[in-house]
Amino acid sequence: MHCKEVMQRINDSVAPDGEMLKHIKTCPDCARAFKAASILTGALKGEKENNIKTTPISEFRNRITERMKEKNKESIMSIMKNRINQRSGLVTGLSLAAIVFLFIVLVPFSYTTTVGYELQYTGLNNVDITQAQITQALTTFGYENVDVQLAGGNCLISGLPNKQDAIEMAIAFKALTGSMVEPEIKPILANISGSLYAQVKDRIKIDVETEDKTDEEIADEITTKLKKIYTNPVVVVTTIDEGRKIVIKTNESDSEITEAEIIELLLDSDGDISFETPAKAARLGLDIDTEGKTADEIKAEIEAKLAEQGEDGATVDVMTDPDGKHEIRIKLEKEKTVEE
Amino acid sequence: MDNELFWKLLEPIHPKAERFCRKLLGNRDDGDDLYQEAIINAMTRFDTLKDKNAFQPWLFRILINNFKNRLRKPWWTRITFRSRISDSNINVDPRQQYDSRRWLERAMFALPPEDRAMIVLYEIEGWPISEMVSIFGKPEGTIKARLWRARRKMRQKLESYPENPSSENDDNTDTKFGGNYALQRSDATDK
Repeated sequence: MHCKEVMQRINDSVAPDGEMLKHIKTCPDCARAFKAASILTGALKGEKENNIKTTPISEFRNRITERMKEKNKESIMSIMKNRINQRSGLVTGLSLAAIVFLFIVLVPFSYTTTVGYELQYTGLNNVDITQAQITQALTTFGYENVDVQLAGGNCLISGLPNKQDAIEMAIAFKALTGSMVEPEIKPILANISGSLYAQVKDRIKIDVETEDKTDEEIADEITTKLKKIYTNPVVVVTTIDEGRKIVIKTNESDSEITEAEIIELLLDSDGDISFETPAKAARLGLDIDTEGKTADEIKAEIEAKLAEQGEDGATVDVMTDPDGKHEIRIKLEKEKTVEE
Repeated sequence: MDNELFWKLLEPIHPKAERFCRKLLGNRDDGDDLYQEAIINAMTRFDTLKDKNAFQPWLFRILINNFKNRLRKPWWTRITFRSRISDSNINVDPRQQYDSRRWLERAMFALPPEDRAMIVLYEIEGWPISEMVSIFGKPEGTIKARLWRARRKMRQKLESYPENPSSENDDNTDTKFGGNYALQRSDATDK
């Protein structure tokens, strides 16, 4: 008898005869297979003969009832835990979301933002006033945290929180000193370390619908909205092959425009516009030459310029005292008094 | 759900279903846990069973599916403290029973879940193949072939182990395991 035949018999569970046993005694491979088959048969038989005592059905029913009650009492956390265990993809998704959230909120990045403005005067040779007097006068006007440095015909006024305050300060300075020197208004930029969330929070959102509108209409709408934030924004909308290109210069008259104040957008043809822009910008700027003008003329000019900047509801009062000095009161959303 | 009907149908097959689960997992605690989980599953799905006469194969299908799902769980959720003693048969030599189970566990480990269920039902629980057809939804010939392959696989697995619990009696393997040499199941009438 050959090995192949013996193995076939072992696999077919055929009882061995004398010839097969004779071969097994002389062939180690067949002997090993035969022995393993015997062990397996014995193990299966032993397990079959092992009569396990089973649980009475009444007792088992009670167990199931209790288990079902417990299952109904499962907390939300355990349900979530089970769901998460069943769906490995959900675990990955939640973990990724948590990592992204923490990244956005906690990981700091450095970015540049405008933290204030300063006025710089040069050539104030004819001004007959001291630094202390300017500081005292500005404090009287309500500018308490302003720092004034006057030396050698140059004056630097810093500590102005926004551009509107800087412009108002320039008018107040002009009235106080009688100088006709125009100041240079400089934004104070600071490199800030903050999370992405902090950067987004530091910007404001502009939404514009573009459906059935021409480039000019879109530009007008964006300009009107930007005027509530910037002094003289310039918006150019052009239709290109891919859609529309929008270039926004947040302040035409500002000579110190930073890169952050020029926004370029490329949009699909029918997509509504939604973009964000730095929130720390001057809300209002007025540049009025009062020389040789009457109170009514000054008032008319201020009202016209305010209207240009989208401030239609402003109340302007201009009064002239016997010395020829003008007192200008502009009432906007928040009341500010400017004297000249 | 008709709760009373469910329990009435379960009552006659409860002992073999419980025993099947314990033998499938090789220990009482895991087996009982599997059985309870499967019964709760079956209760929640009982309304979907149209033919109540097919309760037994339907329940065993659920048991086997629960067993498969259990094996798919991560290994660390499957660790339990086993109590083997409670399953022991007092009429059998404990040492011999331990060796026998050790070999069987090793051999069964080589099989996929469904083949393991087939071996337990046929070789240990002694079910006729004709009844297994309705559980596995396969023809008799397929089940027989799978049982043959499963058994060969188990035997080959045992061949790969160098140590042998019965090494002190190598020449008498034909009498030590199961008395007389018998590769065939004693009541394998439909084989």
